[in-house]
Amino acid sequence: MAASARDEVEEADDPPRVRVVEDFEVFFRREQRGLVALAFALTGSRGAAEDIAQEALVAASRRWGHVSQLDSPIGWTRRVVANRSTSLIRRRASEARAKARLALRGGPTEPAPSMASENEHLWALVRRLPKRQAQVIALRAVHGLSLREVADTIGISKATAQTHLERARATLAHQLEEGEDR
Amino acid sequence: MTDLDDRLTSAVDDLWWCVEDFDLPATVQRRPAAQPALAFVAATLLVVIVAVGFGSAVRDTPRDMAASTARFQGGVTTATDVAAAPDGRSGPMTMREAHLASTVAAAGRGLGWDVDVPGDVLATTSRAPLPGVTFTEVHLDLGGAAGRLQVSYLRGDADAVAEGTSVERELVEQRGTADIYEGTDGNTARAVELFDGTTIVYVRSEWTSDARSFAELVEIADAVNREHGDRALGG
Repeated sequence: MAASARDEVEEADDPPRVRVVEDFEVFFRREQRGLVALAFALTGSRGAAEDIAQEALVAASRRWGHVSQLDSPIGWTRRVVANRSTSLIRRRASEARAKARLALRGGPTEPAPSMASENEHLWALVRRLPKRQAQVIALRAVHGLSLREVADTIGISKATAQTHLERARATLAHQLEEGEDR
Repeated sequence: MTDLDDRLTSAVDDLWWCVEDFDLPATVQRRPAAQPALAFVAATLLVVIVAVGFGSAVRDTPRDMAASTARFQGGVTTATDVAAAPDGRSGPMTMREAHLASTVAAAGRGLGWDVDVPGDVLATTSRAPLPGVTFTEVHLDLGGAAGRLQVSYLRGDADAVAEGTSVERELVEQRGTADIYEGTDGNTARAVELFDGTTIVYVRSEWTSDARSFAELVEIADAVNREHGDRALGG
């Protein structure tokens, strides 16, 4: 009886949780470019980035009833993008499909990025980091996520994310310094 | 470190500048068809997978355990053919089969299952369906006639495996670099299929076996992938 009474009190104290289910099209329009940016940072390929973002969005749309109920639907989708982007095999397959798609459109297979060379170089260094370190750096830099948000997104602890971030920063700083010395 | 922050800020600004310029589709688009040669390889691999009884997850017609067992026993002839032993057990296990069975048993014991290897190994299969592709399968007794757990492991050409597994199934979970899909395998069983680049792990269990939840099958698939992904079972 005591437990039952406590439950009733807690139930009365807790405001009803009403989760507003966002329309997938709204989610898609808002998040698509950011997902492409994350994939672009981690793959360095426009075609692969677009394809990986599409794959992630297709996966989200198919399970939107479930994904939209998660605490962070965009976190789930970013995780898909981050994992696929750092999988070499996936990247190759996506790139091949993207090239095929672009070829069918009659367009260029891989438009030259218009990024400054020093920035291209930095992203190339990021992509050479171990997988988790690259993901942490990209999620922090591209989306400005907190360490907690980064950790939740890729499914690791905050402490582990902190370690990855510190190691990644140390490696990048060292490599940039070495490059300047040459 | 300030210099690194400045460099990162500049790189991010530049990245976004590029991405803003991308002409992105306005709606979700299904993936286009793969290149013909790749599609042919994928189709070939799929046919082989189905033929050796690995394609359960991609079929949408319900099957029962009898059909599954018949497929397993009748559709596959290997060095460790089930018929070789009078009690229905396999012949001597290959190292790959023994390793796979041990991995599953260890992971199962971690989940609280009562499983013993080789005592609970009902049957094993291994073959090379294509050059560079290896296939290994074990069936374990997890609680009587209706309690069979099937674990299949395929490793091979990355592109063919990737295309072969990218059929109309829903991604339900990711473990590291692995995608895990829910398999459809009749009204009396549950199944999951893990895909990790060059590797597919398929785990199927009867409802009445010790594997009582989908999450447990995911754990088994993940354990097999972690144990064998780049090692002994690799072709």
